[in-house]
Amino acid sequence: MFMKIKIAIYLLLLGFFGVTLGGVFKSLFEGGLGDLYRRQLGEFYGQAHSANFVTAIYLDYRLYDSFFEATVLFAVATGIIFMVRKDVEMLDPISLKALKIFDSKHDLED
Amino acid sequence: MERSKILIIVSTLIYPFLLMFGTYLILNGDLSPGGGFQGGVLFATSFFIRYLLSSKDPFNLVLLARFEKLLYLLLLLIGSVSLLIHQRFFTNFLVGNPWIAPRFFLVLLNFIIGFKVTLGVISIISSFVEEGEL
Repeated sequence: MFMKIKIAIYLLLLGFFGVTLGGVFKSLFEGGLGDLYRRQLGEFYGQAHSANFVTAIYLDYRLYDSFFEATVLFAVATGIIFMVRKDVEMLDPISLKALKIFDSKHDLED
Repeated sequence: MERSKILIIVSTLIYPFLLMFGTYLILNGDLSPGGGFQGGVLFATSFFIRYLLSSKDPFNLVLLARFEKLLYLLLLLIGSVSLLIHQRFFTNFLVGNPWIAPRFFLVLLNFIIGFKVTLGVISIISSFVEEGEL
């Protein structure tokens, strides 16, 4: 019984929260940002050839920005692969052969 | 590795929608919110879901890194084509030509970035898979 009341209160709070948030977003897009968007769209489309402001910015004006973003992701992936791989797997065949010969000559007792 | 039945059923349900939504985000990136990065991460998530379902080691890490390197170089090359045409680095080189609409530059770059991000995130995930069972 107590649990059901608790769940009902949670749902009520969630509903109020959702309605409030929806109202804020609605006012934001219809009153403030929407007007700006509509006013600027025609002028902007002629210059950037895109209906989406953000895409035109990150692929045209600031393409070097997304390029270096791709660089960061590339560096991260390479670094993680480098850390995960064992040292022996990274070696080329000639070095691997040399390592095996070295190991067979210097047979360490353990 | 034991997997919950709920996880398997829900993953099976959302897997095709993830693929579809990733494609939509990449191809419509210049018209609506979205773009290469988000679509690429969605694609990588769908491959991770495939790993969760079938539980076998999916990808060759060396091949993934090599393809990602090639795509990175391609991005640099496409960015510097405008240096020859408009004398400016990293901008839209299709502006002012009478044949192709300039928006295809954005679509092409979104596609390349999406593919590259997919490969990068997949290689990160599968390196963790290779290290220990996830």
